Amino acid sequence: MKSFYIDETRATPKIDFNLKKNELSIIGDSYPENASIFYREAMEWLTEYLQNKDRKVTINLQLTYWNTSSSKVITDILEMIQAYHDAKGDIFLNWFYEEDDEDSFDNGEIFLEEHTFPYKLVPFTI
Amino acid sequence: MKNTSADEFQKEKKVIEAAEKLIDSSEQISDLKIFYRDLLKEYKRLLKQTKVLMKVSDNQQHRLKIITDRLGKYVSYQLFKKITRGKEKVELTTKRKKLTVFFSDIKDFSYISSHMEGEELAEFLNSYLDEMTKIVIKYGGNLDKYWGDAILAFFGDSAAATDEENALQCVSMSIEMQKKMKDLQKKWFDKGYQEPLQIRIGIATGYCAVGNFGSSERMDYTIIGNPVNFAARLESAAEPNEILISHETWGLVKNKINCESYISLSLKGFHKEKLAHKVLGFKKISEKKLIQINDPDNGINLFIDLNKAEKDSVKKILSDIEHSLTSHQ
Repeated sequence: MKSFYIDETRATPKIDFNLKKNELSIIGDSYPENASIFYREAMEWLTEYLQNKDRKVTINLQLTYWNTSSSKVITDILEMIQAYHDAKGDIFLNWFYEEDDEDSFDNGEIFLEEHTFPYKLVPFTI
Repeated sequence: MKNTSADEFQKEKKVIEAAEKLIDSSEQISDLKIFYRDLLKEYKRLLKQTKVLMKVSDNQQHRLKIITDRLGKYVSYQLFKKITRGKEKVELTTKRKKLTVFFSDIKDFSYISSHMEGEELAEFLNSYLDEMTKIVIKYGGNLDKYWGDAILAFFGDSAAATDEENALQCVSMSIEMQKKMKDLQKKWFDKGYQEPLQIRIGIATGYCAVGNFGSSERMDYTIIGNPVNFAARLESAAEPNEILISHETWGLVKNKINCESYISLSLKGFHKEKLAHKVLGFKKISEKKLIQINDPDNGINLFIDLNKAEKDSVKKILSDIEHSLTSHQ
């Protein structure tokens, strides 16, 4: 298994899944025409990666704008994180929100309100 | 923004509760029970996802509205409506339209501003532009842009009004601006500004290209054409606290607006001398100048508005009546 990397474009985020550091990051805007196609390889990689429950994983989600189909992918990723945590896996999520933006902070809370894995809401400035 | 969509899923929750009771109580075939359990698990997962997606979607819409409102402050109200209602194509196209163009600035603003601190200047300029912008919006003008203390606005972009109505709205707006300036002059004097702040206004009517100019990446909805230069030159030629209108604009408003007789001006960029009129104010409609005789039983129905009717025309009508009466005797 190798690290996974896709560069950021105007409509899609940078995806940086670093195998050595066990740090997986998605950063940028996400409004591809078809999110399930865009994220397919990344989700397959993630599914395989999270099979091994011995890793100490850090996930960084820093999304500034996303469409509804990307929201669906985000909820899928959060469910995978929850499943890893439920299986006693060591996993931590940093959810980045735009500083001084109440709606951005609320989005983080909405996505995470029904999850029990450890996470932190981290402010960032554009 | 908090979303409370829990109650919207009561029906789905009841389905889950009923299914859970059925599994606990029934003695179904084990395979069916396993399948049903998986189905229920998936249904619960979907419900959870739907709730999150709905809340996030609402939040995104709220966010979009705030951003749209903020962007609306950077363009004119009319353009904002065009863009947000999706009727205006975002492409480099223009149309030729007859517009009445308004141009104003503050006399000696460069000199005045050189004696002010930055913060003071910003407060002064913003308070002035704020008041003037309110008046532009009130009269339905399309605020094109600010250039420092100068304002460019135009009337006639929509098909709803006639050329006369557009010109009258523009001149009426200018008269109200001049009145407002008197209030502002007092306010600024009381604040300690020594210089009397006076504005000059130029108005011209004619055909312009209106639409999107620029590049496909960055465009500006604006107007280009001779009337824009003409309005700017009339503004430069105007005295402080004066409104100068072009002869064509005068032709459209003369029944409602009092103006001085024309003056002939040599303006930069124009080969021939151009006629212009100084605006004096609104014409007052006097009831005393209305002659009305309504006596249908005796075959008389007469109405003359001396506010509008030319004296010679009235004299000729009276002469014709007298001649007619004499010839029938």
